[in-house]
Amino acid sequence: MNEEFLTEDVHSAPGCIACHGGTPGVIDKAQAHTGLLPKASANPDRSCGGCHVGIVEQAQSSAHRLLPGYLTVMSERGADFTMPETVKAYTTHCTKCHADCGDCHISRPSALDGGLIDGHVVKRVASVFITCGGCHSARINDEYKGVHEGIPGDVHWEQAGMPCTKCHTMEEFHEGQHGTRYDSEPSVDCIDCHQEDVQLGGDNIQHTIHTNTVQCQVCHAAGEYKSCFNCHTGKDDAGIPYTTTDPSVMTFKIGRNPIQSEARPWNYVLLRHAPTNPDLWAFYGENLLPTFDNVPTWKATTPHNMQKNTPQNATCNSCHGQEELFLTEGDVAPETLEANRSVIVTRIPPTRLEVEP
Amino acid sequence: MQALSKRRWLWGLAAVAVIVIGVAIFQPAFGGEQAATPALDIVTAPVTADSVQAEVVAVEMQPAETTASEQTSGEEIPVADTPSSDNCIACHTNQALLQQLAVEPEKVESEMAAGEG
Repeated sequence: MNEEFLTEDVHSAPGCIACHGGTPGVIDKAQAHTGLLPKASANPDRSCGGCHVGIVEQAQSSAHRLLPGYLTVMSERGADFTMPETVKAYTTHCTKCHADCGDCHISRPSALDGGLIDGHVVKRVASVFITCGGCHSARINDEYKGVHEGIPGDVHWEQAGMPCTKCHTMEEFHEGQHGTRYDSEPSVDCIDCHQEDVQLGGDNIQHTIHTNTVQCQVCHAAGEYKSCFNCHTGKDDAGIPYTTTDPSVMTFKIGRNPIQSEARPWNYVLLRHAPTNPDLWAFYGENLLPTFDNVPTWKATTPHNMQKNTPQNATCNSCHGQEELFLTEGDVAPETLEANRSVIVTRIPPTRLEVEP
Repeated sequence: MQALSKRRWLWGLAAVAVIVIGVAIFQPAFGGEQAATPALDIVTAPVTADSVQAEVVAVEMQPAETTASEQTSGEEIPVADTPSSDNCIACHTNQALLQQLAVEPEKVESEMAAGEG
């Protein structure tokens, strides 16, 4: 820990032992570490919860802590969490991304091997680059900052330098959640800031035509984004768990909206392939995901590389009639065809007479 | 007789004085602001790991009306009386010593692992 933490951070006032345990008054390392809890926020009731009562209670069931999205989707795919094989597969491979208070506010997340961000200084707002970008790297951070070659970053970053927390609220990070993140109302919506731009009957006729039928990202994602197509799990001869995946692929696919609701009314959304396959847990037992086809492997997504002008919104026919932009049967692996029936586009929107955008 | 009644009056005055002094001395211990808080008492018995753990668990910091991080620097922050962390600080602010004592955990990774994520 550094000097700043000891002299200026209120969190040092109770003393190390208040949160971390250990033995006072001895200098020998082994003795001093007796009763030590290195990751104090793993037991938030005793550490952070001593002062931040409400927020710790709230965060006990947050998506970052409990990963309810995984449990929901796997359950829909038929995972029976009363079966030891299923629990073994899940806890061995799928729970590494769990994060508690300290993973965001004090150190890099444990899933990234940890390490104090700033000599134990407690960050009121987590580091968007080290923390948010650490876990949400390949699929959000790289899109947002324009890391993918030839594809611009997000206008909100490039022109306004907006950190994640400008749109995503504290409640969103901490609040308890059931189901996946798409089972609740969107925490942030483009229209929250761009009301005038997208109002029906406004200056932009394209918005009047498309706003309620096409997700904003379909027209405004600046280009391709990353998809992962499979994940295999197992243990080697020494009993060490491993996962294997094929290299990710940059994709841009428009599909039918699998999460249509009042809040997400669109017929068309962008889709991203999730790293999953029917034999994901085959090492641990036979047929552990018996209803795999209940959930598409191409899932609704919100790429974070928004721009006003994009290749697909240059003209009407930059999108209409462009079969390669849409998810068709030929894009889907045979073993996941049934799972993806609901999102496959069977009729490509036909070309239009051009009108001025 | 007169001397006896005068002595009774003196004995009565003495008894009242004793009661007043007693109340003045013992009153704070019966609910006054300085009453001892059992949970915060530092036990002077020999320190063992178990006793320290029990002590630490017993220490419950009072929930503040505002979170600690929101308090202005000028305010005095209520802090629970916890055991001294001087021994922790002595080592964990000494980079050279830490590097000498640090044990890098062996990273176990299967040779079969491949790909991203």
